[in-house]
Amino acid sequence: MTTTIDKQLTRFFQADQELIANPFNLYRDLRQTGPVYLWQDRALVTHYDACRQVLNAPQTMQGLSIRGSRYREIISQLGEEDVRRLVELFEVWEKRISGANGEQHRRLRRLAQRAFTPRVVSQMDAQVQATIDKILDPLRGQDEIEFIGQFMYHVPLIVVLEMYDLPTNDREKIRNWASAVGRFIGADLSDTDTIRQTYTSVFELRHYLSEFFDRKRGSQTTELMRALLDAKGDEQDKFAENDLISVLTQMVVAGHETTTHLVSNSVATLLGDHRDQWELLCVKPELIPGAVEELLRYCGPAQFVEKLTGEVDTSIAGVDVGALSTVSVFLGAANRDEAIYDRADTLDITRTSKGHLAFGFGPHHCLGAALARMEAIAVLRTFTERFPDMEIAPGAKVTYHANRAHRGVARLPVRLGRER
Amino acid sequence: MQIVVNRQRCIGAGLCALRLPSVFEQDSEEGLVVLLDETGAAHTREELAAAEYGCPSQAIAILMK
Repeated sequence: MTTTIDKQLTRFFQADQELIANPFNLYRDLRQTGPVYLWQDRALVTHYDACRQVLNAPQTMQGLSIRGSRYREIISQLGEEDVRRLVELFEVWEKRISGANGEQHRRLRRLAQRAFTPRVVSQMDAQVQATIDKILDPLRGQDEIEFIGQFMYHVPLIVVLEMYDLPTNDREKIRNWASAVGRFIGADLSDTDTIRQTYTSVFELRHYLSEFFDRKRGSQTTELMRALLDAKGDEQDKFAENDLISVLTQMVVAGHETTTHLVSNSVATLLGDHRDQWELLCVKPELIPGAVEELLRYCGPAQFVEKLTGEVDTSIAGVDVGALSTVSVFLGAANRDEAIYDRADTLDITRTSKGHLAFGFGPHHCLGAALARMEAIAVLRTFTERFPDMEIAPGAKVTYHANRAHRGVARLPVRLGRER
Repeated sequence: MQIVVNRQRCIGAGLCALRLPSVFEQDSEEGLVVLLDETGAAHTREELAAAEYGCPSQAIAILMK
């Protein structure tokens, strides 16, 4: 017998617009059943403590592994060509920083982590502001703009491309490839079109980055790119070039979509349902950093991350979960857990929301967290200061991307109002 | 109180340095934690416990003496 929750979950994983736009009632229903909900071929973890436990558990490897229960099921139903494509896709996937585990993971992460510490990131503030100003400048005279397509998506993408010395003029192409990759996570893999599109995009992106990698070998380049080019690993385990291309792929993909979503979701929610809190930020900009933490908790883009249990049957928060099971850690649900946050389903930018799981937890805690925070603060600072009258264009329909794992507003028409 | 940090576990997220900059810092080579004050005397037990709890790789231990 299918319950209401099961029906809602089916719709959610089919990227039903209503459920992507508001999954929070479903999350509450799930939390009420307990910390872990077994559904179809995976285990959904929705309580804050249980999510932390899973993210911290060394025997739970980083997911989106083809060995997971979810994918075994799908593979058994696909044709040969599509299976081959899927296997190759996962090979690329599992080599990214978030696909690696243990010592290999630590070594790959070390290629980049010092460039992403809060202190180093704070030194980039002027550069980020300059990028914001440059994209915003031609839009200033316009009465109405589409906040995301005309402004927001450019900013984090340019920032990450510049960090890796990639041509910012290619960002349209890169963005399209990256979006296809992002859609793959949590996607309906029994849809062979999804597999084919993702396959084409991933390999076109890798080809592009591979050529770039070759071109940059002998030349002057940024510190981050040089660290990748020169990375050797150690005596026992040299880095294969493929590993490094995968890292670069991940930096490009992870480095901008989620940040764009964070800020777009924040602006949509402040202007849409919480105008009073937007206005508070306009008169008290010192509240912006704290507000960004609360907005991460309330409307941060990462709804779930996938993990894979080890080769032995195990249990999560007292619930039995089999070996090699796909585990979906619902950060979006954990961040609304009433056991941790009072009035959890209410946005309150004045509260202290430290300890949220929007950036994950454990060894794979988001590498770009400090940069994402800094960019969100800079954009909110710019708009509350210069366009305090900004509002969602009357009659505009705010829609979300059809992406289950990364929840993000797709279209946000706004009226800027008088510039200060 | 005594604070102990584990640089093998540290992933350079910098949450501790953000929270309590007089106690924790990050080195410039790898962004790993550097303990500036192993007594944490300038802070309350709650503040130190929060930093310990918030570390994503559980690289901080606050030992109550």
